[in-house]
Amino acid sequence: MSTKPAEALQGLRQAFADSAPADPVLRKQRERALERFMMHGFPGTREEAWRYTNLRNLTRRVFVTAGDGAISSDQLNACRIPDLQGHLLVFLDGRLQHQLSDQNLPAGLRLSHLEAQDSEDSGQTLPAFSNLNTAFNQDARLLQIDANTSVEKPLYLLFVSGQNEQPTMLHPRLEISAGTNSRINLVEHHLSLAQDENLVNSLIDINLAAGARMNHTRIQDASKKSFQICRVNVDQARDSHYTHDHICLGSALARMDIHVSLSEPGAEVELHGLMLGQGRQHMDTHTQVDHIAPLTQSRETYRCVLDGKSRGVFNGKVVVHRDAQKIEAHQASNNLLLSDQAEIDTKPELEIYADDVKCSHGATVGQLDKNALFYLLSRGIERTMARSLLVFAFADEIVAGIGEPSIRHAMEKRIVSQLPDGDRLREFV
Amino acid sequence: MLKIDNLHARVEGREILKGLSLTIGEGEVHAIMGPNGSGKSTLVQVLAGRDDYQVTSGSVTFLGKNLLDLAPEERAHEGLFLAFQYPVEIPGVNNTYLLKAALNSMRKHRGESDLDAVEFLALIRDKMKLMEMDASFLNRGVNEGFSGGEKKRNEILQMAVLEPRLALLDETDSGLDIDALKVVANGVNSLRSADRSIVMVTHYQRLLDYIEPDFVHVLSAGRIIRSGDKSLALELERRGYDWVLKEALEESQA
Repeated sequence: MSTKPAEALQGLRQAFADSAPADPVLRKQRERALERFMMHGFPGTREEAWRYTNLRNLTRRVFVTAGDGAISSDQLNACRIPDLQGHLLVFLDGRLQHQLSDQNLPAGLRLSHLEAQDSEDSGQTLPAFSNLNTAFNQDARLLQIDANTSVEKPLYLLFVSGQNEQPTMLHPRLEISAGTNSRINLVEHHLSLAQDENLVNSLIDINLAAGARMNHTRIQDASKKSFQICRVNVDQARDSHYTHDHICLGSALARMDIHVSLSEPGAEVELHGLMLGQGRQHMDTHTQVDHIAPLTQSRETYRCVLDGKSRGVFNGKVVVHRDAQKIEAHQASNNLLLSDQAEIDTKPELEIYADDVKCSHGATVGQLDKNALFYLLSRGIERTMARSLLVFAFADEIVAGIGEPSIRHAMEKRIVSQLPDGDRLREFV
Repeated sequence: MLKIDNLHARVEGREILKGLSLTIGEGEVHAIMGPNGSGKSTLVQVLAGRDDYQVTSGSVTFLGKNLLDLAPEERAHEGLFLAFQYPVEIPGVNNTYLLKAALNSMRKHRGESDLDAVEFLALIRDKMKLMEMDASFLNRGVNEGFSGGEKKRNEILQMAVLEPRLALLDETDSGLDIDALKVVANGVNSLRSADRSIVMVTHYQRLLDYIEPDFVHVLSAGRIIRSGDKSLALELERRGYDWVLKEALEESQA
């Protein structure tokens, strides 16, 4: 059963009426998406995929669509990753800010508007938030990396929520098409200028052609009162390689769905994630990897550190399709609970329809290692700092895997800054 | 330096130390020997403040303070150091962090300012040379993937950096080949001084060939049943523990 708080849905209709585009094709596409969404409303906890994540607080709000916000270059410089030398694209409240973005992208990298598609049947089974995104996205973009192009510097996509008076909904939409044997490092960074209660509902579709390699780092450090929903769909062709590092710090409620299809032999995916919850934050990651073709590999490592009354969810689904022989799928979910009231629900899900496969999964839930803590104390390190040092070390196993040094350092500093006694730890990172 | 009086301690409801008394003067080196399960490791763990162990009676005075009132980190600040029998691996915390955090914590307690990076590195390099350790070790996780010998050397390195007043060495010789034992012993000997005391817990006389004790004690069933000088260790090596246990039993019955 779905929740249908009448007011929230009425609010969506109103927002839709206020923002519907003139272009008839686009308008039709959006209307259909909205109707598909309205049929079921927001997902409820009786749906297996939403069992541990209750959207009650989200559906109590009426979100408006974003107006034209503004951000100064000073504000921008204060929030961007300082030492990241890359091609910067700034999206404010979902819209690309040309004057703040790099004007010239390197050869072989093209950014354009994503055209509306008027196909009658598509999307019938799309998830609710994907339909919502289609109904409302404002500045949908297509990013193309030409075949055999190696983009040297990272492409830095900065998604900023501006200062809005009312809870505002943003629906970033990106389609990325990586050509044969292309290479790119993509950094997706979400943050807020104010302590807003916005809903950010991102949808990213990624296609990797044969031999393409993509490193995708996603940092979600938005307002701790906001709602961050994100879906990433990845389709991988022969011998392509996709790495995804996700650092989840912000929001009241975060839900990440990542769905990877390994469609041709030799495709490999690595998914890594860190969720750091405090207070009453709720963080949920659902991964699904479909081994459709033989000789494909997936590797997932997820860590979650929960303090206060925060709650974490990890659901890692792996489907090995019939005839997908000689695949490897490994998954680990390690979780650290720092308080009695924190809670994690972690679940691996394996569906295997082939017989010659190597699959492993493991989940741990624990507290700080007593022996390690005593060891540090016995060296005269104060208890608070010893604990913070161990928490940091646990989290850093994920952060240390990020390839781009400037992001790694920024994230280490950021994590340390929210740990007790963090000032004193800072000198170590 | 340290006065232990009639100490009783239990772990998981089982009494391990049953009225242990021991006095250690400044600059003295004591060896505590005894069969397995006699309470040797429990003694040093209790002294270092591990909370799995429950002291039920008795007292321990360290440099005039009631040691049992202090948290483990406070004991370290007062100058107590435990070299672990099984040093803990802490992936993700590198050795430099640990040494720097520990040293600065000690300095803060003594009212001294933090060492800057240059001073710190100079100090560490010096001590690492003493322990014949490679510079690459600094960037590795604490004890992560270390061999048995490397772990024990690392313990003594930490001791050399922290300069404790009282060092408890818990089976520091176990798992060492002869070359590693010499390095470790050399490190310990270089730290001997008139105001630093050392307690070595060991099974074997071998360690005592390299670090000569002033006193040797035999621990059995949670009590010290015999004390002597280093010749006692040699006698134990030759004759085993049975005769001491027997004599102690006869004395207690007499």
